[in-house]
Amino acid sequence: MLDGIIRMSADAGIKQFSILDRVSQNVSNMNTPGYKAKEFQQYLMVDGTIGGVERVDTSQGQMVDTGRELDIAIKGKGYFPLTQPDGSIAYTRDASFIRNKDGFITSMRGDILGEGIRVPAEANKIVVNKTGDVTALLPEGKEVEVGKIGLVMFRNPEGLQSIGYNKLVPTSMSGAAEVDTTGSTLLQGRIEQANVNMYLQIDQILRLNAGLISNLRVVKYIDDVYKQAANLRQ
Amino acid sequence: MLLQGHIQTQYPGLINSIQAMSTAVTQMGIHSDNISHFGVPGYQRKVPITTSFVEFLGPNAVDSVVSADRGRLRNTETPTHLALNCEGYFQKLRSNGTIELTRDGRFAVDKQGYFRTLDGQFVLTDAGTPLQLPSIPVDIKKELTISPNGTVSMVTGTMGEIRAIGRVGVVNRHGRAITNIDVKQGYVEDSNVILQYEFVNMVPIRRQFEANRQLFIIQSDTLSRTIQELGRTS
Repeated sequence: MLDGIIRMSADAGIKQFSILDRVSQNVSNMNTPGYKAKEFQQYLMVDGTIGGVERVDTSQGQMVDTGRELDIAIKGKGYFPLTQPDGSIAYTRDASFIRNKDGFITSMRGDILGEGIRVPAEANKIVVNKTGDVTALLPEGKEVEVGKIGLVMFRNPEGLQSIGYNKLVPTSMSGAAEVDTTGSTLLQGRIEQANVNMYLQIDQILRLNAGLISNLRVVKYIDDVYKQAANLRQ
Repeated sequence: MLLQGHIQTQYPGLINSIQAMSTAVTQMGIHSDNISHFGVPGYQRKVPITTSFVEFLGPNAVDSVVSADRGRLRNTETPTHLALNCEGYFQKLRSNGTIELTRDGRFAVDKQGYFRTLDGQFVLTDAGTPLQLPSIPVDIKKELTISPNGTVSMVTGTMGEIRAIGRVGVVNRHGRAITNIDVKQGYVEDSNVILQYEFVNMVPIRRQFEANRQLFIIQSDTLSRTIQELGRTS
């Protein structure tokens, strides 16, 4: 019975450490463009034990002006499709792109944006309008349409699975990628900051602290009783 | 116990002390359970109850009642989070058809528009059907409103007409519907555990345990001395 109580408290303590894990992830990604804050939420299960699940806050982050022509932030619910070097598709909201040696617009890690948008080498300037049409301005004042950034959306973006480097892949929870119909717009020269709310993180840490310390204190308390119960002869 | 030569010993006293110690441990377990669940929203603290039949029933005489005190409501600014500012429970439907009650109103909308609890169960309306939105909202913060009486309404179509979808079902612990309810949208109810209250309450239980332990030792010593003295033949 006493060991049962200790085990329950220890289990709860382990679950609480998962909160700390997510908070530290959020704080270390405060400056990662397009990062979405995670939260570990505990809930009560039928048998009285504590269950936990990770939730992702998919709300819009704040926009920051960078002036770089290939920083293209999304305002709305859309995602950029990326073709990874192995040919598979991943999605991102990290809006910092570069031009690779073949002229394609790629992510910082070399994933090609969309199905490939190739900018002529002599282009002075790239203009991306709100709906995603990419135009290259050539030296003699000529303009060439080089492609269109097609955004996709997910019915339940929270269900997307992170595969690292700020890239996401769909799961059965999120539903398949669909052409964005929610009216997301693109903003050139800006990036979307992480949507981490610092105050919320501190609130969580303080809450966790109170819960965790009391929990461990109880373990110590019950353990003392356990010792006494086991040594009934003194 | 009756020793040979008709000497009555305090044998029932030993049993009584053991039972009292067991009772104290059960009570401690309930308080420790409350402390472990401090960080679980919607958790209702349990209050140990002992009957006057402890001496006959032993530790089984300890029972607990669920405290109906309201936990503190915390603003989360998530439109699918609901808190009950009244007595009652939300109903969730498990996949095997059973209905469970919960005060944890942290819901989310899945890819088909169903409201789901954190552990993935459907949320029931007052009509007993899973609560489902007719379409996936683009900006859920602006489009979804849940009024204090539990009516869920959503902005649909391009003209912005507001359509009532259903009413969140709130029942008492016997499963009867409660009509005058106060549902707060965008809030979460924290557990109603008060840490200092639990710790303060554990102190007298600990002392009770120790007192009974001492009594047990005294009685045990007396008994063993009696046996030794009487057993001496010369």
